[in-house]
Amino acid sequence: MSIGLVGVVISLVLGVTLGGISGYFGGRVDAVIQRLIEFVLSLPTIPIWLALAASLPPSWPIYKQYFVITLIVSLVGWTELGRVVRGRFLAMKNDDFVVAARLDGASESRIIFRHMLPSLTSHIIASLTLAIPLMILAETGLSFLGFGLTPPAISWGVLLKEAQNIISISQAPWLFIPGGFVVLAVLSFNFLGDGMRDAADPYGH
Amino acid sequence: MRQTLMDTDTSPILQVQNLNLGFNMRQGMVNVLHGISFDLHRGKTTCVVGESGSGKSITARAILNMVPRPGTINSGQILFNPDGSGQINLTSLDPRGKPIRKIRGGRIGMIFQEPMSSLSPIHTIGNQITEVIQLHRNVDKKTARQMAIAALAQVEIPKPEKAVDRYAFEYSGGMRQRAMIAMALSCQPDVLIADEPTTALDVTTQAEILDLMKSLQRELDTAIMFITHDMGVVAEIADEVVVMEKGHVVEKGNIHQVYNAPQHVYTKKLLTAVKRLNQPASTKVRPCTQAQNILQIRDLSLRFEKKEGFFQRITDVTKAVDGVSFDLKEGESLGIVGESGSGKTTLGRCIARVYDPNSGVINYKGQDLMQANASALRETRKRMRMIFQDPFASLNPRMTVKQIIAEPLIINKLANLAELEEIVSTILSQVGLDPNMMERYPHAFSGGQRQRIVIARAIALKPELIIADEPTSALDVSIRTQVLDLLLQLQAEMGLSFIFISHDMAVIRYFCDRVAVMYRGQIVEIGETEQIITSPQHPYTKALLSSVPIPDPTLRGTRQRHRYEPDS
Repeated sequence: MSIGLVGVVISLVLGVTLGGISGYFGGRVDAVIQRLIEFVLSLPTIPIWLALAASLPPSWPIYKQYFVITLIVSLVGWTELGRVVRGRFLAMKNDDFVVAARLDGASESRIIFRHMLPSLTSHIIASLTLAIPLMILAETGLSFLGFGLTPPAISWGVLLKEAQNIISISQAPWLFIPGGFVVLAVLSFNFLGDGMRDAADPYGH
Repeated sequence: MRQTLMDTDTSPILQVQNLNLGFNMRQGMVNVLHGISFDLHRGKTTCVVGESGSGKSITARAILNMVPRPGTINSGQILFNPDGSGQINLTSLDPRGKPIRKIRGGRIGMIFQEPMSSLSPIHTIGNQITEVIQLHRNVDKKTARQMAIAALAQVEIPKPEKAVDRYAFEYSGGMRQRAMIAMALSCQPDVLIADEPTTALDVTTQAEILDLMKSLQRELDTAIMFITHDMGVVAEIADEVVVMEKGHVVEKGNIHQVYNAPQHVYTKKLLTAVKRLNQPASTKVRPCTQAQNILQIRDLSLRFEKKEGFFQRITDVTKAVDGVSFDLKEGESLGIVGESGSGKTTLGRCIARVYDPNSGVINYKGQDLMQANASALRETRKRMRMIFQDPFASLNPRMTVKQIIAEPLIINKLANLAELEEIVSTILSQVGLDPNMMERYPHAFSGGQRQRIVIARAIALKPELIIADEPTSALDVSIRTQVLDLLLQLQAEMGLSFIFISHDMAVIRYFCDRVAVMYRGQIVEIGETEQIITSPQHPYTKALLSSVPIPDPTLRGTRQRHRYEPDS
């Protein structure tokens, strides 16, 4: 779980920085970063995860393997956020309050981090809390297919793997219970995200 | 024939009686309209006046029975009597039912404020008009198209046979509003509701649209309900006036009666605000005669180039600012007036070097800002500040008022954290705001208060020159004078010079010593404000001045409208 969070944070930092730079400076920088995003987006994700996960040396301890897997997932996962941040920055950089900050003599980094980024707080929080369940689902999916964690490590995906064929479910339906927990966890994170977004919204109160 | 009909036909065509309307919120019912009543008569224009939030637009929607959720009509009735035969109570009809849909668009037409968003971008103008006609008239497509062309011709759109197949984006703002009027009038409705139809338009276009509505009304004998906040427009077109404040009708009556002998305090307040704006401010401090030039602009130009294709070939050049020159003395206010697209805002932003002009000289106290490097520019910008038009967009919604005002002080290291609170509270009281409110976020303030915050941010660094870009155009009239008075007071206290950009001649007259008239990126006329207003030389200035509504109904029709159509 904490490893999953690390992955989310990496995605966040990459997405916000590259998206922000791309949107604020525009021009050639923007073009390069956008092409990079398009390239990453065009990679077929599941085969890549599979290939990379399969290529990890089996001698590594399980948690190291898992860490590398989340790293891979996050290196592919920052693009969506990057796009959104770029769009918002493009729209915002000509807003009067940003022009006002420039006229105040604020440096570029101060404009980006002090004036523009806070407007994205609610969006970032929402996408953060949505990314965590995605990480859980990705890990579950990989483990379910047998390429992620393997026993003796325990994860929902590993547990669900037992429920892979019809016969075992019909004989032991409780094997399906971890699936319920995945749903519950993912939903909870979504609700948490909703709540945090409302709390960060200055118009709300 | 018609004349006699009108004389005998005194019963109102539409009566709003004791209308109560509320929004059903989580906290309970919030009442928006408190028992309002007024009548509309055939062939007469009834102006509904009030500031934003007074319930004007919601009244219009209630008449069409299109109250947005969670609004509900609690009591009262709206009686519609198109032909004198029987009254229909519009509030009792099912909002989605067939009877009301027959009336909407057919018997009661509506024009909206924003011509940009009220026309569909993906259908041709002709299609949109024929749709209305076919919904309400039993005609085939071909006839409907002919009727649409006739409707466009009626609103004086040139070449209606061609214009009918154009899309909304191919029309200018004024043309779009004409098309909207054509659409609303295409079924020859008995009542036309116009919700601030000219607010988004330039004065010259506004004058044309008002003239057009008047002549169409004479032709079709329509009852017009005209919603506006501009008392000048009211004086120009109204027969009857209904003044609204906070969901109450505080005064109604004949235009002359309301203008000459207003009864209610609020009406008086509105009228004095307008009348004060019709002359120079009495508290204005004139610059002293030996004052030095603070700013000299010479041949300033900015072109916007449209680049296309792989090689970024320049396909189109717009001269936003085209060789502008003027001087500004210390303590002087120079107004820059012109319609939208004349380049006045761009000029202001060029001087502050928000945009980089292509050529010219910006001589600020002997220093050419065109050649200035980043640090010199930062120094100058401490003394040359900007006030923006939209007080909602120019304040960062995520920062408290204190943070916003302190920001320039912190960046320029002019105050340490301990003093900050005290400085901010001094500045806040200087602009007439309560210092205790400094921890709040901008959205907790009204438009006028927000503009005071913007002004506070501008004066925080004790500047010499302020470039004010339409600082009052987003505000209601009564608040407009308050903000202008504040600026005048600050000018007297701090010896500020102003470049005051506005499209509103009245505001310029109130505030500025000199005025420059801009047209298509060039200054066509510059001089003392009073002199320009009383004896304009350039034909464009004449056209502009003749379009400004006179806030006196007795002088209606005494002025000849000029049109300026340069051959280009």
